[in-house]
Amino acid sequence: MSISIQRCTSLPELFQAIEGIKPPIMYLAGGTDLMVLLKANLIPDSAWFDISDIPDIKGITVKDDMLVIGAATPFDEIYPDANVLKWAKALSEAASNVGGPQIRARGTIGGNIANGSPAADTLPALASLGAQVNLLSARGERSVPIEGYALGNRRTVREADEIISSVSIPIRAGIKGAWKALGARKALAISKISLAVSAVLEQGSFSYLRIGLGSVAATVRRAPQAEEVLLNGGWNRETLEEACRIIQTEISPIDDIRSTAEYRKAMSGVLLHDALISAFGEAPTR
Amino acid sequence: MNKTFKLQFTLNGRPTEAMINPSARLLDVLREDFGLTGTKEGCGKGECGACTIFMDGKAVDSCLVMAIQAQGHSIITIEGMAKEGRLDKVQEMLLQEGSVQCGYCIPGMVMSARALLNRNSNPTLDEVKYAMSGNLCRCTGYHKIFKAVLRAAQIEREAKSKI
Ligand SMILES: Cc1cc2nc3c(=O)[nH]c(=O)nc-3n(C[C@H](O)[C@H](O)[C@H](O)COP(=O)(O)OP(=O)(O)OC[C@H]3O[C@@H](n4cnc5c(N)ncnc54)[C@H](O)[C@@H]3O)c2cc1C
Ligand code: FES
Ligand code: FES
Repeated sequence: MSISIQRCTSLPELFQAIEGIKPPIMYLAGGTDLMVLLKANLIPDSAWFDISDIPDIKGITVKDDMLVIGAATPFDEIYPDANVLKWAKALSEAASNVGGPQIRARGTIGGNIANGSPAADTLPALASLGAQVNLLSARGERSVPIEGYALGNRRTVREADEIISSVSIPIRAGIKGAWKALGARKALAISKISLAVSAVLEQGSFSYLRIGLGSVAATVRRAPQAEEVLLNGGWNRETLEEACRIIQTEISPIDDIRSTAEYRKAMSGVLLHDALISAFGEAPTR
Repeated sequence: MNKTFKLQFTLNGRPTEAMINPSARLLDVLREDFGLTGTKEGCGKGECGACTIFMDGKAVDSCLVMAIQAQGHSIITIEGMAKEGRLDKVQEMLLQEGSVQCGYCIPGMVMSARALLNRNSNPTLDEVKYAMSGNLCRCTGYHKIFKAVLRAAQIEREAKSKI
């Protein structure tokens, strides 16, 4: 196995460095996935470019009704951020639960999304928020919705010469949200299933509501039937119960080393229930 | 090994320069190039925290950082914790509470605890547990380690309020 590695401290330097390089190209951000694969000898011969010190793809800003999070921003700068707490609560909760403190200090949102892993914890949150993934290369810029980014397990629309520069989240007044997951233990465990909900509730009805699910399919997915129940019927005991029932029938998870299909189905209802109640701070009163 | 990268960074408070292998992990460069063997390798994959160091004041796993990523940054290892021959308060309390058994996890525990106390001088037990959830110990059962961290925090608060 042989890898080469080069440190880049600006985007022009990066794009110049990768010009003409034969894939696979690895963009080293927090290293919390790449270094583990390297240690396990699971990395092909490849050219690595360190992007962890490129200021243009770091930090959190609000502009034009969008919350923009740089791809190389680590989780421990995302979850406590005041704008993230306000406009993307589900993402804050997901980011605060990734790995342990050392992983959150290095691991980045870009690295979490990049390879389309269905178990990446930020994906359901980003799907619930209607986030866009912004891609950048020497050829230019483009944006794709988060649900269109991953094509299947570990396949994505990103070309080898493209990096994720940031994710954009539309700002919606009054948005609430929550993220819930089940794993073998609290810290440092890959989720068996994760679920996020983001919603705007106005006088008992939802003007916006999306549910994102992780680890129940080859990519992150939504729960359109459960969403419809709540969008049509509003926030009451009956719709809550119905949404938590229907979500179990509309997903088709698989058995794998971490869990079973049956458990994941049953838990999707439980997590949706918990997420909605935690998002709104109480059970529906009607 | 081909030491072709000139690493310039701050190591335990001192501006430092060395030629290193560009595809080496920071953990290996600290231990082998600089002889700082207090930082341990447990799992090598981010799960145990034995290799915890400070990078710009944050606790990070040095097994997951490439050495070249330390360029221009400040790195502090367990060797940098004692000041003028005096142990860090966390180290002192670990000794006093009898928190240490084999000791392998302890350098990493000290780093995570110090990172917490630097930003929160009055943590609850739950906050100590959250801050140290990336550090595994296979000997002690954690109880006495957490107790030592809480005592270190208390003694530091008392010392401060006397000034
Ligand atoms: C102990 C441990 C616990 C973990 N727990 C969790 C968990 O609870 N939940 C979870 O979701 N994940 C978890 N992870 C996985 C990992 O921390 C995350 O997936 C993290 O977000 C990866 O980001 P990174 O910056 O470290 O990626 P890196 O390792 O630097 O890169 C990962 C991949 O992404 C690519 N990449 C990185 N940045 C970009 C970019 N900007 N543009 C294009 N490609 C890019 C790289 O080429 C590489 O293929 C854990 C990992 C460890 C070691
Ligand atoms: S050796 Fe780095 S976390 Fe275990
Ligand atoms: S004292 Fe032995 S691993 Fe912690």
